[in-house]
Amino acid sequence: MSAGFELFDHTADLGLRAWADTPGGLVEPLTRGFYAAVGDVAAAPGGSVETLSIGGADPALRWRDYLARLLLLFECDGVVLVDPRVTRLDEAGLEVVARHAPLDAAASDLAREVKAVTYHALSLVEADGRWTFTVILDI
Amino acid sequence: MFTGPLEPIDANRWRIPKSYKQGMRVDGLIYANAALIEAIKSDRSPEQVANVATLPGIVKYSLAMPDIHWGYGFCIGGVAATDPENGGVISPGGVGYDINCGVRLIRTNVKLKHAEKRIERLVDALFDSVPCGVGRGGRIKFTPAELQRLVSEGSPFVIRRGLGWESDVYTTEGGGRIAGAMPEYVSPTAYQRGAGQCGTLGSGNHFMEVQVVDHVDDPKAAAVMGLEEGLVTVLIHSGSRGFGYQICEDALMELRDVPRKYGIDLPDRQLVCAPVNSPEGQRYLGAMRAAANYAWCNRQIMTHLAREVFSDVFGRPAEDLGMGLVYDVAHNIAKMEPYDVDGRQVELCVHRKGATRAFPPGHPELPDKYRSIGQPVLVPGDMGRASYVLVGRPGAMEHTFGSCCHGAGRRMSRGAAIRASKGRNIRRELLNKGVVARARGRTGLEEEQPDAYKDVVEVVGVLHDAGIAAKVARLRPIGVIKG
Repeated sequence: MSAGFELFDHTADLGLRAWADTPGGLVEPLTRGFYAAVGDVAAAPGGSVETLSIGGADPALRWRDYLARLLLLFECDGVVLVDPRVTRLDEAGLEVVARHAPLDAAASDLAREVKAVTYHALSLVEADGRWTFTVILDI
Repeated sequence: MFTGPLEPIDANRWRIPKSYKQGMRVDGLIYANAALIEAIKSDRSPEQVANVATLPGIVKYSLAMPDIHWGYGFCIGGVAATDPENGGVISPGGVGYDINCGVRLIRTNVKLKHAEKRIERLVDALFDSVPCGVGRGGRIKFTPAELQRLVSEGSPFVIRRGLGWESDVYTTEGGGRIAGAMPEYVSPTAYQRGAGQCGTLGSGNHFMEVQVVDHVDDPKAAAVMGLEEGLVTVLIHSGSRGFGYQICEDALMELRDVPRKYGIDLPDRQLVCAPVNSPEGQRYLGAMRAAANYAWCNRQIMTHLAREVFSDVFGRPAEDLGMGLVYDVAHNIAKMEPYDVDGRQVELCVHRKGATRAFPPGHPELPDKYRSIGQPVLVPGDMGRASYVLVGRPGAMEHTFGSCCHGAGRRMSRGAAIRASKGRNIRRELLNKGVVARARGRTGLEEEQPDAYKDVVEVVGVLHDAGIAAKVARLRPIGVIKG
């Protein structure tokens, strides 16, 4: 099993690329990659296990929409997703179960504000058994 | 790297012929000199100029200013006008996520020699007073009902609450309010994101700078603006914060399938759009205008905070310090404006994505004060060198839909700027140049270091020489706060 992510340059903004052996395996590196774009994000104990449901038939758009939800949860509610795992991924959509933990502000070092998850350079490709998702974050 | 055609028209303009790419309805036109165009070719922003040329109803050209760099959908520095009566579209990507991101300049009577003695204290006090950085909420709170009025009424609403001077309205683009805002088209999520952020700087490239007028090119225009060599000014760069970001996000989501509905083929899904006169187009415009009004309030509140700080540090009321607003301009917006197209007056939808309005002398939308000299155009450079004040010239109406550049434009990515800062202390380097800098984010100064930007002198020079805008004054930073 190989999964990971990288942040890459995009002029004034920041690219996020994540890869995994399966489409559902993208959830963990993508989640980590998103928080890495923000800075050193620490989750506090507690919170509750909840399910995020993302609709839509386009596989790349689903993952973009998932990241957009992470952004809203972080900015509006101070929620950090911990141990995310995909419980459903089919033509109807995506379901992610995770602990929705409160942000530990004191233990976090927030480097930058992510304004939005864009559609620019958005792609989900499979090559040689590896799934790679790419997106640009507006900084 | 862009490898397509870039044909020189003259010393300051380069054409991408519409034959370059299938679907282009007009030529692309980039304002740049020979040196700048080499840097511009190094990314794919000219491809984005060509993509925008495919939008239905686009008029004359898909334009880019010399501060062009790679964006998403539209390039940064892009201008496109569409004709609604000819199927013209509105594209949220032509406005950007930070709706009505813009700049405002405040003058003062404070002389450099007096400011230099207190600059550390002044910058520290601004840093303490003006909320900046990730997660910093605003000091002024608004109820949901007040927020709805704020986004309908624009900066006059917050000025009536004592957060500014009556005169500020007259020197803000459009009077600090764009008519036709539809708060009912704004999602609850956008209100939630925007609720606590009005009056906050944000992060990224947003800043508040204390500057000094260090060179005047046009003494007459400078005098009208209250600028003279040696006087201190304040420049504020920010936008509509999470409120605007969410309105753009919502619109891009809602418009996903709309191009197909209207038979529009797009080369990039970030260019998603709707006919201006369609229900979907009007819905976005109504929400976008609400975000524009929010942004003018945001910059207005920070103006109030800056005046309070100056008053405290210099021990005199802000009025005695002459802290009048020179001007406030939007540089991420779409506006309906009349233009002469082939001999007839047409109401066009002008997208400015990282481009500033630059109306010439005599334009009826200008306040009386500026009718004889043209609209002030504020062009931030970088925090180590300079920013510029220009005025719009007649060439802007003839060639660029009343538009000019919005800054120096990045030449380094954020990552490259951080790598270039390894082993250096940017804060100390700035101090050695006479700039006191404070930043909240751990890499803010590195990412925004002066070398990350093109030389604003060169960028501004292209538009000055092309007759789009004329130089009035150069402003040198002496203090910077960043998120």
